[in-house]
Amino acid sequence: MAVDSLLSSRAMENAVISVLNDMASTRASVIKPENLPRFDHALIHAHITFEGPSSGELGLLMDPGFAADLASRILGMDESGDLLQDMVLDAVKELLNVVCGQFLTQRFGYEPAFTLGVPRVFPLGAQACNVLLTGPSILIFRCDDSILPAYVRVKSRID
Amino acid sequence: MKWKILIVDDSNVVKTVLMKALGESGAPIQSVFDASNGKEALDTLRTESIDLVFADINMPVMNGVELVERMADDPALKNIPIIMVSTDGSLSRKEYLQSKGVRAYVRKPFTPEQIRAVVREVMLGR
Repeated sequence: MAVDSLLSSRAMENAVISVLNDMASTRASVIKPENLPRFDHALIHAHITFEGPSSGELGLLMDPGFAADLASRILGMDESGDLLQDMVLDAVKELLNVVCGQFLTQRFGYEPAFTLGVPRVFPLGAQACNVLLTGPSILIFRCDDSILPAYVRVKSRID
Repeated sequence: MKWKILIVDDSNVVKTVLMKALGESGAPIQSVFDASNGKEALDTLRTESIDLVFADINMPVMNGVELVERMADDPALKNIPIIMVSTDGSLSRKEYLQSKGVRAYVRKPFTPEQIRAVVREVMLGR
């Protein structure tokens, strides 16, 4: 793995683990990609881009039930049952937005200024998820009983 | 005196968490208004007597940097304290915003304790 790619993966690992802990009181650990199960149902796909001295994209995929659980934790609610779907999706967007900010600081430091795109969240069918997760720069997190795949791609660097 | 507070963020989750933190902070709050971008915020600021603004940076329509610039250029708005709440970690952007009158900067994710402390610092000077 190229050094840049390795540094990006490490920064993404740290960002996801710390943000899940700080925002959603959720402990996450990294597991090997080969332990990733094949998905047989649609997942929620959250995606964000960034531009600056480097540009790129980050994404998270999660089961809808896990997304609702995370949203209730972020909002400090006991149960996720009463949450509107819009609020769940909004929570996932904000989670990714914060992960992106933390990733950029971890990867590039405090000096460069980046512009983040508006996070987008949409369902992704099982087949598309399985194809996406065979690509490069994939990280897999385990959070309790849930699997949280993520990816980071830094497209270019202007030195 | 009780304060009127304006929260500017395109995320309803952030607004909810921030309102909850403010409610638990013990601050003397009269009412909390919200806006989803800088343009909506300016509309509210021109019709309500707001005492404190919390603003995100990364928003559609008009972002937080432009909101701060517009407020700095408006004699009626330039003295309203602004606290930025953002994922942005850039020191140069933080310094620029402070040069435009931003009083404090809270990095997301924030804790209720951070919100309580920054409100005290900005509004009460302690």
